[in-house]
Amino acid sequence: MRSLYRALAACLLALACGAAAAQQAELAQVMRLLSAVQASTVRFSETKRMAALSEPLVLSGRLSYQRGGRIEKDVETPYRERIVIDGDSMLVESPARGESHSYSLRASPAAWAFAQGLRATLSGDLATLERYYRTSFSGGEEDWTLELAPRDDEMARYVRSIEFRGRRADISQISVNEAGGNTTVMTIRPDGP
Amino acid sequence: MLVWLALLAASLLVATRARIMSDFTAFLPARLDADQALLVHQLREGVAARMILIGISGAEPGALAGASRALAQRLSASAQFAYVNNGEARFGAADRAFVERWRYLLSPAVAPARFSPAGLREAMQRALEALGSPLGGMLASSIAADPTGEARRYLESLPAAGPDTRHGVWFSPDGRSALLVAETRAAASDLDAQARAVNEVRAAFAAAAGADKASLTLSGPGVFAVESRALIRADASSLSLIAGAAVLTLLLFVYRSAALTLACFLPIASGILVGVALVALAFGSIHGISLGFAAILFGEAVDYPSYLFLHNQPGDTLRTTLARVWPTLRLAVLTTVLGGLSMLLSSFVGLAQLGLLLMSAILVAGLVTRYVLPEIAPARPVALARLAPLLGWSALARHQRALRALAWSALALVLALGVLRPGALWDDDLGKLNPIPDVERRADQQLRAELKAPDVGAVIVLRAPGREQALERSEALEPALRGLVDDGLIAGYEAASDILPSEALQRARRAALPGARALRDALAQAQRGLPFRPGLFEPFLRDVEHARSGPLLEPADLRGTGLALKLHALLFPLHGEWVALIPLRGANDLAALAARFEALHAPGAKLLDLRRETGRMIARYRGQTLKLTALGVAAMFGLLAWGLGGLREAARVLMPVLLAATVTAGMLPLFGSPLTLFHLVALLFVVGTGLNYSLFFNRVPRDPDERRRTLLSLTVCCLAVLCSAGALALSATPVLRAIGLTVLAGTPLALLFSAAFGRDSV
Repeated sequence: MRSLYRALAACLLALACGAAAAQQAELAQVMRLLSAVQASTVRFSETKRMAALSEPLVLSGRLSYQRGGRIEKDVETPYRERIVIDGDSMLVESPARGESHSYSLRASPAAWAFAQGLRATLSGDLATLERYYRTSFSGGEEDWTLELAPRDDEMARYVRSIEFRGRRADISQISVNEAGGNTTVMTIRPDGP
Repeated sequence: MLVWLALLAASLLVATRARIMSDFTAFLPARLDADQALLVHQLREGVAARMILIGISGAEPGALAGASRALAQRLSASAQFAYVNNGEARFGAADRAFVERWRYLLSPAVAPARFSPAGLREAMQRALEALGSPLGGMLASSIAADPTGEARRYLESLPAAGPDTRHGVWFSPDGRSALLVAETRAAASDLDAQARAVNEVRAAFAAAAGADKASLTLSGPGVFAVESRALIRADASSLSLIAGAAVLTLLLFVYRSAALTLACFLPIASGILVGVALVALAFGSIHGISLGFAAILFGEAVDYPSYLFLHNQPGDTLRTTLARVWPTLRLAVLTTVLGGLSMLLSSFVGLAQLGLLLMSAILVAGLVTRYVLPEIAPARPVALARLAPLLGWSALARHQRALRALAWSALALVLALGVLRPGALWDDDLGKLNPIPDVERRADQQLRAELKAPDVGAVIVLRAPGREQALERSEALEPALRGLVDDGLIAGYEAASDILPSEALQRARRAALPGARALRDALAQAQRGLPFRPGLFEPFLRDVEHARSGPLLEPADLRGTGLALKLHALLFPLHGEWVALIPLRGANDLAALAARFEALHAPGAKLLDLRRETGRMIARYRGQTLKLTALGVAAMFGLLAWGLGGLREAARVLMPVLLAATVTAGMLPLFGSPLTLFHLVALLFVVGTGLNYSLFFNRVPRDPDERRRTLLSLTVCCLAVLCSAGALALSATPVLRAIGLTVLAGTPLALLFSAAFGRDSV
């Protein structure tokens, strides 16, 4: 009787391992697809629910990515703002005020980990991604979800998890769950009129 | 005899307890004017002097950055350091907390318009955009307390001079070394504390991850002081040993008698012991350089017993020999003592030390030769025939006419060159007095440039009777300073009033803050139509009210911050008044800067170029030293005239020696080492020894045997000096090397010229 349980347990374990291995293979495949993307420009709509705000803040605009780690976010409504993440620095421009500030991403471990997570996912760099986050992948190539949990304590103080959803190499949604109950959900659709 | 033994015992007691110093500022003059006092204060206590510059190199950049982080973390936790920065964050947690607490009294942007409905409306709009930025949630608490962004604005207004950042930490422009700075709590002049700090950096580096492949470079005044102390200690003892061994070998070869050789050392050993004890008693401690100089005294003072022993002819007792030689020997001793006396009068503490050491050591050596040696040493004349090869050079000296012509033409040549290149003669760089090797000084300059660390350069000095007046004057000067920056005359400046605003300015800022009710109303108006949660800005309302009705910022509130360190470096009491320093960065055109500054007519303010000021200080004391030297030479002349019974006689003895010293002085700059004060000391020494030679060359010998013995004694003495000077010339310490080289060149010249101009053809 006991040996039967044991055999059953072994089977279940093998199944689980097999499932995990299969998921790992799917993740690697999605990463391969992502890594082939040279550049892309998409439209986004971002809903931020924050403890500091009595109603959600909704931003929309254009997002562009270039292989090599340059990400540009052009906010068009409700105010205009341009944010460029490139290398170690983040540039924030406010055309309305004619101001621009450059920040070192390295100065804040959380900001650095966030930028690296974003870039590593967009460029399909699994090794870098796993240096900063524990990853869990579900679904298949045609409809996948990748969840990232920060490894760095400093970042974990601000960010609980980041979730990407997509189909093949097209990312359709990025959600960020911040500590303190703030959430940001960014939905993405192809650039067009 | 008994007196001698008692003196030795007492000296031994004092000398063994003497504290050895190596802080080169100890060599600076004791009496200073206000600017010089400030200079020395900066060199000893200033923040630049407390800074340890750290470079990590020799591994790939990622590993270097990791080592930099680990090292910074360890050092920040140490009690030795008040401030550590590797570029990860410009300001530490304590600084941020301080700025947050006092932001409404610190921020230059605080003005009534900023807290009006319109001003707050703009702040609200910014706050919303900040929340909307990536990770905007991180900013929520600071937005609630500081929606107008005073803390950030203030921190950004502070000068940000720093190196490039790679992998999140400071790197040299070529990316080969990670850079850090650490400021010790202890003053630069507290060498034991500096040594502990240096050891701690090394230990922390060794323990840091990834340090096994990388190598550590340390620099900074404290590091140098610690290293040069070790260097000088090692140099002074090892060079004394080498010099002693060389002279010992020479004497054993000449005398073939252990007793006589030992007896030769007795006078100078006594002399140095007494000299060191006297210096320790008079100055409280003895400088390493003075101790190194003692090595060269070994060479000179074995002269006196050598004159005695080598003039000892078969059948003579030492007493009868002494009776013949003493009148000449006495003059030799006294002239050298006069040389030491002229140095003792210098207001340069280091020179006075050397003078006292020289004077007392020579005097004691002379007295021991006169009163002790004849009692205890055996009469054992040396066989002249065996030592004949040593006298080979005298064949040269026989061509007196040719030698004289040579001497005069050498003088003419040197003078001509001196006239042609007058600038190259003196080097008044204070750094040259610093006993650190050139290699390390270059490494320091490089590290300093890469770190953009403050260096002694142009600085505005504000003096005021009190702290508040100093701060107010500094604030009054700021518009003009910003003008200098705008016009490109300077790249930036640092002012104490930016860290600690004067009470008047703090009150003015407080008066610009609206009352609690007015602010609440203005905020409600400004928020209209924006989605902020009701009550979000309560912390803001509370903090403004607190600043408006709370205490003013005082220096004690800065305790534990990096800014406090900066404040203390920029604002301090000195000799009963307050001094505010405003260091200017990137002041390249000092003449234009000085002209603009002159036109400002700022009360109590003075523009100082610290580097030129130190040079001027050194030059002034060099002038004094030259005067004293001339006085010393004049005194020697008088003494010689008295002792030899005539001015002509005195001139005949002194002239060749002065000729040799002048030619040596003129030669040295040609070999790329402009003269410093220490060369002057060495030249004085050359004059002292040279006079011995000249005196003996002008003494009428009893018979040809004695003439040959005179020649032998002078030859042996010159060789002994060359042995000890040669040892000193090997030193890694620039100052000791300068002394060694000068003596090495000057002494043979003095011997040759003395022979050339001597009364008696050799």
